Formats: sequence, structure tokens, C-alpha cells
Amino acid sequence: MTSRIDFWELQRRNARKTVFLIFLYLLVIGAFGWLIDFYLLRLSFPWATLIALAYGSLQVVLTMGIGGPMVARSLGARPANPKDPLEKRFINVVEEMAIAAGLPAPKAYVLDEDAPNAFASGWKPEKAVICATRGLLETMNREELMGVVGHEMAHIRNGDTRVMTLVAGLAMALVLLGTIAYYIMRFAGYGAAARDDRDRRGGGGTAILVAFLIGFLILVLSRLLARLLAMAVSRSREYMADAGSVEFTRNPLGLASALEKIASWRGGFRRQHVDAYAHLFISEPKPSKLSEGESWFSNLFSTHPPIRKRIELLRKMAGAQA
Amino acid sequence: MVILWLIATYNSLVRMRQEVKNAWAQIDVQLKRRADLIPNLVNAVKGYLKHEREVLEQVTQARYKAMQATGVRERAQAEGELSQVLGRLFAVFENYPDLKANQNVLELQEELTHTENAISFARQHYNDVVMKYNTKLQTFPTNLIAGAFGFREAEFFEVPEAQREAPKVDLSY
Repeated sequence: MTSRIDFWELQRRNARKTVFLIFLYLLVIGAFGWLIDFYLLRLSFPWATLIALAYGSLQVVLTMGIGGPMVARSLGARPANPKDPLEKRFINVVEEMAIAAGLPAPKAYVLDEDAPNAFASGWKPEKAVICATRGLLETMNREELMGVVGHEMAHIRNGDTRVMTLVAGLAMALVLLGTIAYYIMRFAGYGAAARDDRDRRGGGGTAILVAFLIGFLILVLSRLLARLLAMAVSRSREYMADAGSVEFTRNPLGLASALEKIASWRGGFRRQHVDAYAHLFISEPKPSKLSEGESWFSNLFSTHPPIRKRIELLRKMAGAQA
Repeated sequence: MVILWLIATYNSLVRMRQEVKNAWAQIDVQLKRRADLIPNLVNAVKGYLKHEREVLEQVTQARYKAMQATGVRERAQAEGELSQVLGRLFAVFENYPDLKANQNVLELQEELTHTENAISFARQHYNDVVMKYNTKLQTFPTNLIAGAFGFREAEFFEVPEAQREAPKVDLSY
């Protein structure tokens, strides 16, 4: 069974990558916290770090447990209609993939958009949904639909709603630390300027400017790192979900062909509020020139790996199966 | 230490054996559903297929045989034959354009395609679970205690070699 090694191995490799990235995330937060607590504030106890982590945890607690149906509805989706042949087929495929994954069948939702796309959401498999756009149901044949739904089913099995909620919490903690540093530097700058004035030394303006620049630099850096790390985690989960889809369907070419169709679609979503959920979709709902570029630089800022690369990997998996 | 290990191993074996049972139950559910769907399909198409009595007869018989079968191996054999005969029936549909225009038949055909897929995915999941369970039973040091606690290897749900390449039901509409 040499065919299996590929998708099992691919999933293991990306699961390790996620763990590594989250560890790295904690290290970065630790480094920022250390800088602020012991260097900028000269505290004896890491208060800022703890506050930031508490704030991040609070975000996680507030958003955890939100059911998939709620997310789907907030995006404007409706439950699939079994009377409609295309939507009935979708409901059936969701059930088939659930059986392949050995999970309870998630609810099938439809989003009335022409762009072919799909997403999954839900804290627990029992409360998860898989949502497809009407455009997806109309463009894909059964095999391609199975590939896409398999990908979403893998997100559910892999607990990606939890992973991405955790990552969002970490991002908020890191950005909060950056913001704290920025305000400390601004106040420190004014403080230094005021002292200078008292001593009649002058040069207060320069102190304010230097402090402001350092603070601003830390702020930008924290936001940049928060985004880069979150995107890197998201990409590792996408590769994992692609391999998971192949595990369920044993048909890499179905998903590859679906991704081809999605890639060749021109035009985005009508709805504007999908940005916050971009990481949920099978391909970015609003692909920009930047995110679909092939360079390592543009890749850094994408929730998804380049679609070409995903198709190439799927073709390789198909080769290994033949 | 040894006792802790014994407890952990025993519990994980129980859990895996239960997974195997659940996976088998899922196959069973899907096979039953297919058996229930077939008479509806046969009734819906009978009128159109006056000259195809033979293949309809084969479907009915294969269904009967599959429902009588017991045990993993016999069941797999009979259900595999039924899948094959159904594939032949769907192939015959291609020659009857009226049939492809009938909404009721199209719906039944999607239902059967769905059930066929569900069966093969349930089988795939069952076999994956069995593989993990059996591997665990055979590997050291679990193999030292598995037998003593009465854990036996589970049987794969295997489709006979000749049927593995059976043409898939129409997936492209």
C-alpha cells in the first residue's frame, strides 16, 4: 500500500508544522512580553505579558462553542433544500464524506453566491456545518464536489475551528503587547521631554520623536508577526485538509479538478463581510494579485497556499496511487 | 508502572474494538438502505425496460442473495455482486432517453449512487479501523497481553478481486 504513505505522511508532516508554529508564536509573545515588562517597564513581575495572555484567552473563551450554524447564518447562508436536485446531491455527498471520516454528518448549508467556494465551521463535529456556494453546486460534477466536501470534512475532523480560534487569541495577545509598548514609548517620550524642559537642556522634541519611532516600530512589528504566524498556521491546515480529502475519497484528481475550476473563476464574492472568515473557505474568497502570486513573499500573507501548488501536490498523490 | 500500562492498553484495545463494531454497523445501515431502495427503482423503471427483463431479474435476485448472506466474507461477496449488477442496470439506462428524462428515476438514481458511495466509504472506513486495530494487536508489547484478554483480530470487508474494478455508477451528471 505505497499509495497511502503520501496522504498519511503529508498530514503528519503538517500536524507537526502546526505544533511548531504555535510554539514559535508563544516564543514571540514571550520575547515581546519580556522586552516590555523587564526592559521598558522595569517590573519585577511580568504583568503586561499576563494581561495580554488573559486578554487572548478571553477572546478564545468568548468565541469558543459558537456553533457552525451560527457562523453560517451570519454569513447569509441557509440550510440546503432537499427538494432541489443539486442541493439534495450536496446533502448526500456531505453524508458520504462523514461516513468516510467516521463522523456524525454535519449540516449542509448553501450560500447564494455565484463564485464557487465552500467552508466548514463548528467547535465540535456534532455541531459542525459544511457550507457550499450555489455556484459551487452548479459548476462541480459529483466527483469534484466530493473532493471539496472531503476537504471541508477534514477541517472538521482536524479540529481546525479550534486551532484557528486559538491562533486568533494568540494574535490578539501579541497585538495588545505591541500596542502597550507603543503607548509606553509615547508617554516615556513626553516624560523625557518634560524632564529636559525642567533642566533647561532642550532637545525634548528629539526625545519625543525617537521614543515615538521606537514605539511605532514595535507596534508594526507585532502586527506583522501576528499576521505572518497566523497565516502560516492556516496554510499548514489547508495542506492537511487537502491530504485528508484524499484520505476520504482516495481520488486526488477529483479535488485537483475542482481546484482548477475554482482557480479559473473570475470575479469575487458579492458579500463584503467574508474577510473575517477568509481562512475558512477552500480558496480565498477575495483573491488579490498579492495572495495568488507565486513568490514566497506573497505567500507569506495568504491564508491559503497558492492554488497551483495545491493542484500539483494532488497530482503527485495521484501518481503515487497509480 | 506495569499495571498502569496494562490498564491503558486494555482500555485502548476496548475502544478500538468498539470502533470496529461501530464501523461495521455503519456498513450494515447502508446495505439495508440499498436493499430498501432497489424495489422502488425496479418498479419505477419496469415500464420503460420491457425488453430488459433479464437484468431486472438479476438485480432482484442479487438483492435477495445479499439479504440472506451472513458473516463478513459471505456478505462482502454477495453485496459486491449486487453492486456489479446495479452498475449493469445503470449502463442499460443509457439506451433509454425517456428514462433519463424521468424526474422520479433521476432522483432514485441519485439516491442509489449515494448509497453505493456510502457503502464503499463505510467499507473503506471499516477497513482502515480494522487495519489500525489489527496492527495494534500484532505489535510488541501489546501482542503479549491481547490474546490473554480475549482480543481477536477483526476481518477485513473485502471485495472479491474480480469486482474491484467494476465500473463506477454514473458520477458525472
